[in-house]
Amino acid sequence: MKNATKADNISTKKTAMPLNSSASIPPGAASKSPANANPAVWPDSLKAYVGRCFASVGPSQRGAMEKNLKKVITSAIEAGNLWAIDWDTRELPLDGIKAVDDGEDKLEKLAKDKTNRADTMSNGNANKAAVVAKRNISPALSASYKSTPITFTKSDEQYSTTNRQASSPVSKATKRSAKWDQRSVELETTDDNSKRKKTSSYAETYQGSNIEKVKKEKRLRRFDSPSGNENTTTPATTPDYVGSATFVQDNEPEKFVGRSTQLEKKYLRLTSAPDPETVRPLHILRQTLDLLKQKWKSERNYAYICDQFKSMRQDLTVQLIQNEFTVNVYEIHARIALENGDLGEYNQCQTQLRSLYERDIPGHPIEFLAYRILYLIHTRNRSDMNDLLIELTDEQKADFAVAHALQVRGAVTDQDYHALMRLYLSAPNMGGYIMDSFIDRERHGALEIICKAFRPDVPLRFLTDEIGFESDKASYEFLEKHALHQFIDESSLRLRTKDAYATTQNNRTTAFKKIDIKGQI
Amino acid sequence: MLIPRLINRIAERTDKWILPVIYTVTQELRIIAIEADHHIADRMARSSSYDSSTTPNKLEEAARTINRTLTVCLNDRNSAMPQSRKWGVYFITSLLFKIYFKLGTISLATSIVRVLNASSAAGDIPSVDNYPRAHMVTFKYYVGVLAFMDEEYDKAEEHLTAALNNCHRRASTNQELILQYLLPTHLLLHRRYPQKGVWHSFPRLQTIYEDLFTASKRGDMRTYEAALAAREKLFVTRRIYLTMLKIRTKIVRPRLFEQVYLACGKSTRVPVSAFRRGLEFVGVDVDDDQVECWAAVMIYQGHMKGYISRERKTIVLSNSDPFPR
Repeated sequence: MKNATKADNISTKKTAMPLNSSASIPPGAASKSPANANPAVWPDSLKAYVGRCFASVGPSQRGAMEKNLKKVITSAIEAGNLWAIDWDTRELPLDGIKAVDDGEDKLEKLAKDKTNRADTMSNGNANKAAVVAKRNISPALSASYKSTPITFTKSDEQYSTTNRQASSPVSKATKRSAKWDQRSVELETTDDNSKRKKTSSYAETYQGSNIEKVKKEKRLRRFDSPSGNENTTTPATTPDYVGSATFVQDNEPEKFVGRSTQLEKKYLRLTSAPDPETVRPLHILRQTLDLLKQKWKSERNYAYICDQFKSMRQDLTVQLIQNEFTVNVYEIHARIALENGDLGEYNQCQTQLRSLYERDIPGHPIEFLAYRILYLIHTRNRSDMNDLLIELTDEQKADFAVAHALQVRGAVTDQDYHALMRLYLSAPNMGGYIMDSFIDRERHGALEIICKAFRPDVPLRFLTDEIGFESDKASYEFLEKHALHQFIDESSLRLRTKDAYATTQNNRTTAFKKIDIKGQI
Repeated sequence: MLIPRLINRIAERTDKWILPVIYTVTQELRIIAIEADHHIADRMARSSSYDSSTTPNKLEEAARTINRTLTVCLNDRNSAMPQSRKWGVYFITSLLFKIYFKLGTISLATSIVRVLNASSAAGDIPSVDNYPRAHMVTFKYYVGVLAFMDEEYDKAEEHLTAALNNCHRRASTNQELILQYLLPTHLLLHRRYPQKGVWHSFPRLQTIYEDLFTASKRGDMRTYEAALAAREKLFVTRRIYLTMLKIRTKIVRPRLFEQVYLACGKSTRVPVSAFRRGLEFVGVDVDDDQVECWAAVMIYQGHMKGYISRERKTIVLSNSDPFPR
């Protein structure tokens, strides 16, 4: 590949240059060895040898390997053997270095595999390593997981300070996304943001400074702990696994299985490793679900049910259970939340469900797709809505609930209050509950339009029909609530539109202001 | 990937002479990344196992590297303006736009625009009009399209027109791309239709738009809806669909109402039933209340001047210019 050959050219050029200055010393041989014994040029096989040495050890062993290498190379130079020794067959200087077998090195192996796959040249890896060794650049052997620069010289610190000094908004954005990535690797949680999946792969490939390297090593060491704990949650909501699944897989975590047999459990945010004694295994959770379904039907205590469901979700997440049962739990919780107007909880479930559906776990994806469309209308999230529309398949569009939701979207955009109210009153499944949250806002819009266009007045009955109320009385109460009843002619029960117009304008502006922030993406 | 990162590092200490190198390297990087992703996708399709470590993300990686290049160009603190790397900014931006549009990550594109506008306003970088024309045209095109997608049609018109005016006379592909977004914008904002010559010079645009525009001129909702449905996929992927829907509501339907008004001899009092019959004529079957609602929205949005009398079920239109242009 072009890149490799260019690299070769550059590396040979670079090695040619130091011939001019006596101060340049091949790295690794270090500035401490006697100046007279240092040739500026290394044989290619030696470069390959160095590459193999570093490839065979984990990042924590690099310092030790460096020392060993120094010894070997210096002794070769002193003996005049630098070119004579067959480095290709030479054994690696592994004295005092731990054999490769911990989580860090598995990652390295995977990283190497990645590079091997990516390279089309057979010895591209070795060349790269040699180039890297010569040039002291932080992009290490591979372009993936490890952000561990080879710390031969100080230039990496230079690189990291440059990073820190870069203060333009563009680099800040990159850094912010890097920090966000670390959080996602540390298993932060729900966000109605489908791009989370993409950003966690960002994390894996982000080449950072030494600070990143240290943080990464600290995190990796956490995985080595015997409690098999992969789930220290940040103080947020329930720890929900999403895009970080890949990262964890590579570390092959122990399957965390709970031991509790208590059916009911209050929800508590995890602040440390979960205790198997308090976590319920799958078969217990199934019983819990049945119990909760009964209790919901009989008691209808939302606070209690919500709490119980959250703890169930937590247990499922902690044990990495992602199957039909999980989907079922989330779906039921979402529906119950909708019924009680709890859009926040609904949104959390919705987000989790989306990723579960993407892994082809059976459930009711189309039903929830319709809910999602309505939710995006509610939050006036135009960009996510556009992305969703682009990804819609014909099959999805044919579904009744989805088609209904799309019509609602059209009606809201067109400000077509007549169609909107009809759709509201005929909403399938639980869509009506989501529409509840934005119907009032649209009602104010409708009132403003009516007061602008109709003269001299309109009967109350008309408003009841067009604004989607159940009765004239309900309409009257609504108008009263928003300072419009003063414009109603009591005897004929008609609304004087011209007089009412100004007030309707104000009402509408207020109603639309609140969710404006989200809509401005 | 190593080379571009290398260049980024080197470029930190150089003047603007490095720009041609940067241009070549980043351009090739983008193309190679797209090829690499194709390769990976092929391999994925053949292996059919869910292995997330082989997802085609080379283009994303390329985007990150090129983003870094942008930062390097933007943050040239050392040189005087004529020698500064800042002259490369809009070229790199255009490359990034191409990548982001391909990836669908529009929000990243808008954030770049924000950064550049801020820098430009602060005097950090020269105004975009001072840059090489090619850079400026591409940039304005993308900003115009972003505004279009965000429903900021005035801004879209401004930028797309500027891009079009500065296009080379024979750069027909570019002109076609610009017009693809400019034509609907003109129609929506000013009810302006393209001259016949446009269809003649751009047959591809003709295939896409001519039916729709003709139907729109006549207020023929049925043909318009049918044509739109036939091109739905095309419009959706280019994010034009929603705008065409808007045109249906704001241009086509009012035009239909105008035809009814004309057919009634320009009478200022037209019964609602007349409009309903007009709609039926083009295959739209609705009740009187829906007709009134649509009329109300038209009055509210300013496409029709007058008022509706609920009692008499009539629409009273203004004496002068009830359907303003």
